[in-house]
Amino acid sequence: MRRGCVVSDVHVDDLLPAYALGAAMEDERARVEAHIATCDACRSELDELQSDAALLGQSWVSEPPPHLRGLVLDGIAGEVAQRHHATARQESDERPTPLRSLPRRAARRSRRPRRTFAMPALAAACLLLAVATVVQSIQVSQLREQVDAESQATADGGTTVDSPILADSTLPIPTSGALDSASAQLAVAGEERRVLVVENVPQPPAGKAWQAWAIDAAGEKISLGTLARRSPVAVITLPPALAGSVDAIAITLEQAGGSDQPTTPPLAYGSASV
Amino acid sequence: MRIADQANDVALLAAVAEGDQAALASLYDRHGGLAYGLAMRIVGEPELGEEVVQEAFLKVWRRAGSFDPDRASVVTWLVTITRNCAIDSLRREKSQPLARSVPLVRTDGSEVAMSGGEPDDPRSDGASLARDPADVVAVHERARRIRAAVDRLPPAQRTAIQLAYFGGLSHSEIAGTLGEPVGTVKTRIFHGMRKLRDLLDEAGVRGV
Repeated sequence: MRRGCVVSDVHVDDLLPAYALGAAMEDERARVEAHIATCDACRSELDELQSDAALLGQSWVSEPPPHLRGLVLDGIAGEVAQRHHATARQESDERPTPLRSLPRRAARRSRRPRRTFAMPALAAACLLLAVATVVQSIQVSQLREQVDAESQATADGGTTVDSPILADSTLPIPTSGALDSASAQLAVAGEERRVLVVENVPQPPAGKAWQAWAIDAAGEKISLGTLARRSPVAVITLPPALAGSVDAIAITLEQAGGSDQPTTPPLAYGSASV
Repeated sequence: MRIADQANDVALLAAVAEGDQAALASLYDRHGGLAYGLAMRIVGEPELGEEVVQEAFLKVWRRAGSFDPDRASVVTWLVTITRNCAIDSLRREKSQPLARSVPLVRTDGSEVAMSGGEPDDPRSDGASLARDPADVVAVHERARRIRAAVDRLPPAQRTAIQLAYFGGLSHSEIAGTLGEPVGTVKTRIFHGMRKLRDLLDEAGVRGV
């Protein structure tokens, strides 16, 4: 029995190392967990063992591919946006006041490679709310509180400024085929602001990714980046220069990591001209 | 892990718990190499490895508020989350018995090179992550010392421990894989972890 272990009728000493490695079987795990709930000595020993096991996990370091950073951050932003959307829907059911303004984010170029257009949580929250106003309404003051509470640095270091812009309208981007269950809209706010919002995105097949495109008047297809693999919500801001000249939006299924040009027919396609 | 690093990580994780996405990005920049390296070690394929890292950091995001700095370092916590995500992925993807699909160790304890070959040259690392080159080298050097310590384990103990940790096998599954009694496997893991602690201490990587 371990020195300091006060629970003398349950012997788990020999199970602690296996538990720390993840090798304990279900009944053994239950015994260990029951024991450490009341035995500090064994719980400390288990913490030490888990720290040792975690050193095993640090024995192989491999630099991830550059695009993985964007995917990781997209996933987080998508989750935040989805949570805000759910909150907004809930609030709008209670307070039917029209929304008229949104804070404008200071124009500041991200220095990250533009493989994906990761949407900072704040802007994502605001634009999803803009979409929601087409069918529902949200009280302005509550939105401002949310904005103030979140006016810390966003994912790429940008900050918000207080001048409001109008969320004028949204354009539907019809979906089909494998994207049939998803819904896509292009939120339009002033001349320079276009945000693509896609909801209920199905997980793409292994090795593939959904990729969004802006198509200009000359028919050129400019990548807007790939959608995060496991996120059911995607929010992509078009660069201001593109926002004014985009003619149509499309989404195609490409290889994971994206393609330079679309290689498959679009499964979402809609006009972007106001 | 230097004291200053752990303090930084704790502060970053506290910020993540408050919803700070930039703090999460910083944690990824600091430890993404560890997470991806471990994920690849377990699942062996880049696409699965990437998914594992995404899932792991999503869990970090969701669970940041429950981290207890008195019980573990942030790195231990992140590595444990990543390892568990990777084992889950491995179980989902396997179409063969686990031990055969995991090219980690031969039954004599000698290690098979993981898919992708040797670990990355530290001089070429860091390009994709915003890190101080000195930090990149330090992390690789530490990994090398850990591997060297593990290599000094008696082969039978090393095999059992690696099958458990990197293969996600239980006592009985390891026993089945190696054709040995469960009791023998339990003993090897018990003594192996004790021995590993001593070797890691000697290598100067525990509690650093």
